[in-house]
Amino acid sequence: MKISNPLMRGFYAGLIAGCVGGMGVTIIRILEVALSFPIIVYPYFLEFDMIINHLGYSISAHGIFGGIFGIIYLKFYNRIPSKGVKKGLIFGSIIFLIANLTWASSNFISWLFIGIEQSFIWAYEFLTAGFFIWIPYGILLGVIYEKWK
Amino acid sequence: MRSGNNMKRLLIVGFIAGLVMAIANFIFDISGIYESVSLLPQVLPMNMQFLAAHNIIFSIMWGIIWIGLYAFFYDYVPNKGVKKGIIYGLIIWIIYVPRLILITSAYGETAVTWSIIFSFRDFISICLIYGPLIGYFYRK
Repeated sequence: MKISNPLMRGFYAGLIAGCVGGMGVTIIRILEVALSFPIIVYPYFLEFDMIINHLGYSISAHGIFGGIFGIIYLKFYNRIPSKGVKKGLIFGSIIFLIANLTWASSNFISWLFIGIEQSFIWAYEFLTAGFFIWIPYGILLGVIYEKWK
Repeated sequence: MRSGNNMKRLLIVGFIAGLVMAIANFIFDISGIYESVSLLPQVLPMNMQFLAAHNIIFSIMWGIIWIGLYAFFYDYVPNKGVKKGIIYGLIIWIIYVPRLILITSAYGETAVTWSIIFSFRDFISICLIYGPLIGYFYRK
């Protein structure tokens, strides 16, 4: 497939990768409950309605922002180290750093100061969600963008 | 030697810009905007010392990390000087903040109101304070 407008190429590649990343975070939340992880963000996650709701908002939110970040990827493409899929992985890690590690650290600092358990759970949520969204996002973005280039 | 000097400069500028960002955030937090929409007591039992410490640690830490990325992508950020910094601040803000409004929409009206005010606060502190500061003080 060939998309002539380079900006739209970045946007569509990011949109698809973001939708897959959105699925990634829903899968990890299901696994948390199903495998009884030490920290569980949503205890009732195995209910069908909850899964569908989470999947819907996660795919749409990360699809839209994945597309926007895809345009940013395109703009900084030449400066990102490495080649091909690895380039995408590095970009995904940078997005993970800015988009989710910031929130995780903010909640972790809150937990250190006030000691509220909820802050620790939020820190964990941002950390795991970020990892399972942006790392697959980066890999897929790298693959799709290389194919469409 | 030169790269050592550059690293030192990055640390100093990142530290100062982060500190100024922390002060701006702290002033916003204690300005009474959150209370005016009845948010703070429902979100977390915060006090002034906590807000100050949280803002200082968080903003300085990320102020230094973000300027590291700024230096790395320096040639690819459009424009020059302060405008370059504002554009970089805007990119950081787009990646870091607006997604939060969509995420918190799942948690109800209070969370959405909080995230909209929070997004506005961070737009001021990142795009209009942190960005211009690093754009002005850090040049290659």
